[in-house]
Amino acid sequence: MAAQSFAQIKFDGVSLLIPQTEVGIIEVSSSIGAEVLAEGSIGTVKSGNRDWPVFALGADFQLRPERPETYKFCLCMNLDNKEVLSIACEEVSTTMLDDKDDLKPVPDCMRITDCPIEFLTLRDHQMMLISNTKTMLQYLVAPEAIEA
Amino acid sequence: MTVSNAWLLEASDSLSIAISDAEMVEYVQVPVSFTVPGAPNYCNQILYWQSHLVPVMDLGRLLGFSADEEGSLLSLIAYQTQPGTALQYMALKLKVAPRKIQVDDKQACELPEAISEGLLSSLCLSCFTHENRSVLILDIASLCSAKYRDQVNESKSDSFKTVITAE
Repeated sequence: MAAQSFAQIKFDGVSLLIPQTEVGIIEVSSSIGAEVLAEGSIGTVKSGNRDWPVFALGADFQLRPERPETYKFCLCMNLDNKEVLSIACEEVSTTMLDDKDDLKPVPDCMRITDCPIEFLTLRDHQMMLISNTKTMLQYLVAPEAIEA
Repeated sequence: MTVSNAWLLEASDSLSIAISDAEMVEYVQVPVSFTVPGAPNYCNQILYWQSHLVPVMDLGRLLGFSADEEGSLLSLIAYQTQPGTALQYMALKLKVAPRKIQVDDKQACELPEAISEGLLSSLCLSCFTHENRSVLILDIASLCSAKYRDQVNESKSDSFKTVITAE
């Protein structure tokens, strides 16, 4: 693969990579409003007239009903330039992946139907999980939302 | 009488399987594995081995026994999904170190009723008796397939438990 930039977020021991081109904005969690736009979300990040429903996930990608105090940031993600969802996290950084990173698909025996992880790679003795906005949207929000 | 070499793998207190010399790749005593979120609980660890990400299967947990969190023994197993295709790898969690044994035709036996009635039956290629225990020879490629994963997902874990404790 050609070198590609990813946003790297960390939550509950998970290191998840999302293509940088799909990142709208990064907000601090204090800006999360109480309005709940999507089932399972913990609130909404608003910026101008744009809204991102915020989801908090645990180590097994299970939805958390509340944001842990350590989740201080929100990665707001877009699909086709439309704001769709935000993931609360402990850290946000940027990283590059290229041919050396040797992305591997999740083995068949480990992949459950709605698993949001597309690829795995190991770097610096840490497993990195690679997903994208469309897959996360399918996992977190009703599939028909993708067509909206 | 045909005598074959095999490796005896004790996947749990109640389940032994055998694999051939060709399938056995390596015995790993202290593996460094990583958790894959959202994966089935019997297969949510992955091992990085020689540029391969190798799924780690815990058959004891698959069959509904309590998890052995202390377990740190793995057998690395090679398999092919079709003849002539590249080798694939999986790791099986073990209770004890693998043992090399010899098996002859006279040891062949019917599948234990409990096994033949359970989901494992679809994976069993044959069965033999060794030291008064039934030892299964499993289709490893099928065990690692998406089809079997779906089959397990659809099943009740209780039915697995019934299968094995009846041995």
